[in-house]
Amino acid sequence: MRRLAAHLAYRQSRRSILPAGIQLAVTLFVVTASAAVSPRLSFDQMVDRSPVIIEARVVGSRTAWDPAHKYIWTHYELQVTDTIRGSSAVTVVSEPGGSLDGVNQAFSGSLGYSPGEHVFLFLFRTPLGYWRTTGGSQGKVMVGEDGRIHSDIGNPDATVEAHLPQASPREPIGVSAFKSLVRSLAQSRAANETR
Amino acid sequence: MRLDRIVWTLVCTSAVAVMAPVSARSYIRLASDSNTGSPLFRVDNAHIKFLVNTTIAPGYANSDGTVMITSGSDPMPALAAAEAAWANVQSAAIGFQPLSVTTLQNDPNDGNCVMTIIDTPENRSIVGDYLAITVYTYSADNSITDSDIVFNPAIVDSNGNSVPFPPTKKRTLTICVRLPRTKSATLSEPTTAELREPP
Repeated sequence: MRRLAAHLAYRQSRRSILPAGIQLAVTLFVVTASAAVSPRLSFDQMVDRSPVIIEARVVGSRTAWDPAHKYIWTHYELQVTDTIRGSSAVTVVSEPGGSLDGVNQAFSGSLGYSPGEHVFLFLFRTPLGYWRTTGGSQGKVMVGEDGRIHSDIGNPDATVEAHLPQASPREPIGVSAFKSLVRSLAQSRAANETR
Repeated sequence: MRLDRIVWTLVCTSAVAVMAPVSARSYIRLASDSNTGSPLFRVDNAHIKFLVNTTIAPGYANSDGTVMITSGSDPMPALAAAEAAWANVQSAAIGFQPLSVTTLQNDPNDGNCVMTIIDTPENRSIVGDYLAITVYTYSADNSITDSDIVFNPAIVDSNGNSVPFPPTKKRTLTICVRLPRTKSATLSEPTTAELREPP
């Protein structure tokens, strides 16, 4: 709690910097992890644009055609361990692409998930009704086995705390601190559900 | 980065580069099995033909009625410049046929490489929050049989304001690529081209 209090205190005093630090960390993920380009969203924007924010573990996946039988989607089944914002009924995150019926489709920017992954997901609902991550890979925040927040690109240096401003408390952000930060922000801001 | 500064990004992909193995920072290596399997390739690398849907035109408005390509834009030269930039890369065995306009839409099974910004629930779903994506279909032998580029028909900033494609006459096209210096392998490389203010 002392770490969280320090983070929140710093955040209140330098409100534009801490989100920027997290923004940097989160957006670094997307720049290097994906061929497609998505707008870099601040931490506030990530929360604003995510009507559902959950903590979950990936437990499996399946592929299926979209309603028009045009594109293949991979639906990743989640074991939701905490709902920070929105409906707890969201237990599947989807990404376009996959192989089905002898057809192989791939999409630039499409995210992959592996069984057992521990993640925080910032989600929005697509017009087809599938839940995807906000801001591409920015919306997928992985938790390492050390209980710290990591990017989804396997870069051990790309932790959130590694990119916090020098003036901020240089302490690792663990799951509970990160979750409290997100929950605090989510409670203070309304979600924009339009897409 | 403010979204209203991004203006627009063209992701011209589709497997246009032929390159050698390089550092992971320089390339997104298209491959089967979530980019960990065998490399994908295309047999038409020397004469790739892209078709530009009629929606990519000045004044295009999405299904909400919001103008997504400003009236002063001139997207065709920008797209042609993106292709030319790739074609001029010495280490890339890539060639393009001239762009042509089409009424065809993105279809992963028709064998046509189409660029479009048509606004459908399906396209909004597959594009998500990206500015543009490439959809590619590949066969069992890993050859790419179709690659379409779909631009986001509803780019908005954090305040919900649309960010249309601006007039290109005041901007330059920058191709953001980092190619290897050798040319032996057969991989596919997404190309990102950004429209930026000239210096």
